[in-house]
Amino acid sequence: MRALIQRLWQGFVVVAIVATATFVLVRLAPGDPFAGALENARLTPAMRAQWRAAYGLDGSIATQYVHWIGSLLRGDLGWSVSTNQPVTRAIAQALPYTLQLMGLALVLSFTLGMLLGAVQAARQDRLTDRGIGTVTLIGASLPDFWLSLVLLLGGASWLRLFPVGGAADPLMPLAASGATIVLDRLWHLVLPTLTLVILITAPVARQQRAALLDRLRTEWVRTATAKGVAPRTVFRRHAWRTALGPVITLGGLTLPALVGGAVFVEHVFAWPGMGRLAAGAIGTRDYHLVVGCVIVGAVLVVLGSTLADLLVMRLDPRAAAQDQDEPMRLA
Amino acid sequence: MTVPRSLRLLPLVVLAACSSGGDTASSAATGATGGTVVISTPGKPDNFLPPITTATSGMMVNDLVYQKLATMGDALNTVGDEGFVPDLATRWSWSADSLSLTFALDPAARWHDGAPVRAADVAFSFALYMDSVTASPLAPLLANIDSVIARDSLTVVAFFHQRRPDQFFGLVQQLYVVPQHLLANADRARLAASPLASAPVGSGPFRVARWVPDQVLELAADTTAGRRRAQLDRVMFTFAPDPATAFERVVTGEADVFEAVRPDKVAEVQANKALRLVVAPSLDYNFLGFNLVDASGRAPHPIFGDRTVRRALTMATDRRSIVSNIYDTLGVQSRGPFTAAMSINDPALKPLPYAVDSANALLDAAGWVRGADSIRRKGGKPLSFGMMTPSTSVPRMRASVLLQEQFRRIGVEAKVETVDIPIFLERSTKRRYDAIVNQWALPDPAPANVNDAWTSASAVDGGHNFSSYRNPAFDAQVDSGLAAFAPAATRAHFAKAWRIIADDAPAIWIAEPMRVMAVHSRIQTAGVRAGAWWAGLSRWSIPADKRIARDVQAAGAAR
Amino acid sequence: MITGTTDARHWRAIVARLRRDPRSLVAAGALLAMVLLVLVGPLLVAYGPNEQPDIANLVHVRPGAQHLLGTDAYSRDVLSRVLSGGQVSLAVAMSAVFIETLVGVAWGLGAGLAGGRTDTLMMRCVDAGMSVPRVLLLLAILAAVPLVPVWALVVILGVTGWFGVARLVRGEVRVIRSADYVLAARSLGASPLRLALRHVLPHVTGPVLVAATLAVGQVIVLEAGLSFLGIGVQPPRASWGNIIRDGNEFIASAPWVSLAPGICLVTVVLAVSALGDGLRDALAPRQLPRP
Repeated sequence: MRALIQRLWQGFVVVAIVATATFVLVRLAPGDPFAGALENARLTPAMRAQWRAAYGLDGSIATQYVHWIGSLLRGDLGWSVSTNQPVTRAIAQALPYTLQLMGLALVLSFTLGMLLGAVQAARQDRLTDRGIGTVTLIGASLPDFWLSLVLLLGGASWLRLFPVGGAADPLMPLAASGATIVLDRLWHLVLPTLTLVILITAPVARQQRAALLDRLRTEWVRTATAKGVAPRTVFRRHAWRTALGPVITLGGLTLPALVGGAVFVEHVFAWPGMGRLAAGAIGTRDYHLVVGCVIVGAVLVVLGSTLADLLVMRLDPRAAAQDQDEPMRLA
Repeated sequence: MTVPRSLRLLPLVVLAACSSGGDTASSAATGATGGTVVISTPGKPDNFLPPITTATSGMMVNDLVYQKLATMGDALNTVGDEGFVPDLATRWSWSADSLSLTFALDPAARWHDGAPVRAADVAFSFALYMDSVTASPLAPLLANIDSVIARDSLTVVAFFHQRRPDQFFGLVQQLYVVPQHLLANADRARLAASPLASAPVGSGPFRVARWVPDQVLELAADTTAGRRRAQLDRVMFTFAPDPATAFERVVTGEADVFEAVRPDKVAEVQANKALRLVVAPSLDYNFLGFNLVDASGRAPHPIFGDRTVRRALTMATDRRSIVSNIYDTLGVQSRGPFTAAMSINDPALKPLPYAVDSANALLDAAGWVRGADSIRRKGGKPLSFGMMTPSTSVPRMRASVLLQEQFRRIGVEAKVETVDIPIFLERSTKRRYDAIVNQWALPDPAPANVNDAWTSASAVDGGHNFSSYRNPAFDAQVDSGLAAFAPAATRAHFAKAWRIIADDAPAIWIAEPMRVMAVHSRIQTAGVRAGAWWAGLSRWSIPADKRIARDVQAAGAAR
Repeated sequence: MITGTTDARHWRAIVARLRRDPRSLVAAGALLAMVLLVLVGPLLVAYGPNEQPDIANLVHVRPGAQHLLGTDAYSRDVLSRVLSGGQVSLAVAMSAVFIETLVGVAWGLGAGLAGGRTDTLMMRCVDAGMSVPRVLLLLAILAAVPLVPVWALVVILGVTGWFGVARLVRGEVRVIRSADYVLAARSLGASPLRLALRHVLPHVTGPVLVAATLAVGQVIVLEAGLSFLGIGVQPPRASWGNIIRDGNEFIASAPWVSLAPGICLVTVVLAVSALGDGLRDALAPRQLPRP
């Protein structure tokens, strides 16, 4: 319990560092939050300065920071100029969509990755192992913006099987049944989820394969084998269970990396999630929104990795100190 | 639809595509109203309060939700009141000295919340625009108006400072009427934060039924006032930040209208039986603008301060090929700070020729001599400059790379600098650049627009003459042109102005891209005009026998 | 010099194991071939990578005898661009990974050896860096310092990618620090720097090398993503990323433009990953033998 509290305190420190650094960084960028209005030739610098002042975005960075901390303590993340609403509301709109997409992609790619990794470990260095390794790696090395567009054109435009991006049918009748609505949502999820699964399965499979092989080499597994326990049982009961640790740690790191990290996938599939929100916020110098998105992301990272560590500790206390050596593609 | 003049110059392929649809103004086929038009757009509206709306997609919605006193006719006339169509005002009359205008408002006009529209609303709107606390970008355009008062509940009087050819246009074009009873207590400094900015209440043909940011905006025809009743029941916008995605929605039939079809997609639209191509001239022109002053802002720019160099660079560029590379047949070569659709167009104007030999000779004569690395130098300084381009604009990125190569051939090094929009704006307004690939999208065809970006008056801090181009002879012709009441005189003055600026070459004008739209073939468009293709949306219609499922779904019946 | 000889012998063994591994050999061969191709290839092609022979009539020419891989939207020869773009992409990726490895190792060693509060603070900074998606971090940095030359882009890519390495190294250091021989060296008064270089560094080299090979592929793809946003390598200079970006627009009408650099990119990523795998297996069991 004390360890948990310490972890959370450390997490708080992390979030504070991230928030402060972002707060300063975005304000160092040339341009201002009302600069997106270039298409309007009539917005003069004087008017933009006046609008900046009205939304508390003038003054030195230090003054703004103090103001911002003050409102933060009241649970107010500030006003998002580009989306014209409070930052908290903008995030509250985007976060559920991101969690849907990322959650589904994560569950699928981890299931698939762990299965493939296990098959690879069982068939180490044979054709199956090499084949799976190569195919998943090809998927992981495709540029995400390219893969997204190819799947969009293929699945939506040529095959006409799936909708062209978006999260829901804008014409869904009010009277539609729950099942219809859920089905529609899932239908919209297929292509972006598939893209993400192709992109992130490889590291999971590789981690799983490596961890399993690592465990199979340990003495107690060898001992079990020597004692006459059937190889399948050794594999299933001993190796599999302890090898979960690194994979779970990877998962704890991946979910948050996907929150806000899937910029291109969300962009191409018009998915109204955090990545699109955050990238748009940077592009329009919507200071408060950038910082808000980063804070939410960082909090999820802290929670994700803490949760992963707790899980690992329960599964295999000895493996708790395992470190990750394979950063995620989208991170 | 008015057949745009420049369209006649286009190759047959486009004309055929354009005329294949029954593009008529009325839905006389049935006389019944109904139908849904889904517009797929990469745009992102900022807010729906006209005094502070800056994004084009926001203005598009404003045009549908709010009313003006009168609207510009399809002929795009901006002189006097000829061609203007009554909107909120049913009629108007001029005072003898032309310095005041009296408008009689439509007694049937209602806000979408049911309250009547009154003269006080008009006076309130004017005051809101002009209040310095609001900081409305439109306020300077209303500067010729002294005051707007409500004489009685349905009569508005506007007083002008000066009698000008475009004074009527200046008033009615900019002044959207907003509801006093809902905005009287709004914080004018933070108008965008008021609830009405995202849930507007207007008196126009459409009201906002649903807005889910980044996903869908549903406008429903306001059925309470017969005169303004739109032919359609609904107009919906679906948003996709990637233009390619937005376009595919029209291809698959998820949406009906895509407003900016790329040249390489034209054939695909033509081959698609469910779609037809609608081409209209635009009020956009793009150009490579030179910065004529140096970093201090006072001395001439070391390279572009020299008129000869600018002319040489212009002559070194094969603008015709550049336009055809970027736009195929869907753009025409731009020859100055105007477009072919504007009344001040001079069809006879010849731009500086494409003549590489002359360009080389001019640079040699100006003292810029080729060095060993084949880059020209003068006094040891290379003829090298940065060419700033917004990374979000594909056509302008393309133009910069094409120009770069053509400059290289005459020994000039242009370095492409792709930046995002905030930086582009920051550096261009502060004149911290050598050259920019810029594009002006004029909101209306008024000749006065040239003042915003090319005369000495706008070559100041806060003005949009980013080149700091100053030529009194040019200014004088523009002033005379704007002051003239006879259209012929206006055109004559502007013809002279265009000759002067083309010879001075403060910019290399590149292209006027056409407005190329893909529209579902069941839809009959109306009033598609330069600068605002959506202007006639309330007159668009869908014949009853051609309606599809989404056309018969009632407004507000979707979640 | 007991550790020294042991290390040398150890590494010889690893190289020997790598040479027996056909997969690693193929990967190394492919990588070498690719490097040679992009270094020598540009000298052999008929067109310069930025040459625009005819922007009106030679746009998007299909692959054929004249242009082996076709031309792009500017009438430029795709083969020539892919070759010269390869130089940029590979150089950027390798240099950026070199920087991130250097910074990560130094940071991890520092934190691990320092221990205590310094360690905690340093590791919280690493956590902070890891908690922001790298794409967003790069977007924000490149908004703040626009129009950087290629070398600065390399530095920026490097300083946004070292967090994982630092964490990895620090973890190893914490394990090794308590090993008997390190404790002994410390008690004999070895300086922390000497400790780090002589005793700790050799032990983290393996895992760091594996991480670095994998990072090369990531950085190539990342640069492609930045190019997609128009903030990577500036035109007209080609990189695999911006060729794919340019071709992406015409993916249906002229797929050859993005396909060729895409295949090169995938090949390199596959090769370095396979090499990384080979290295990992050659290093197995994971830890070096403790002297």
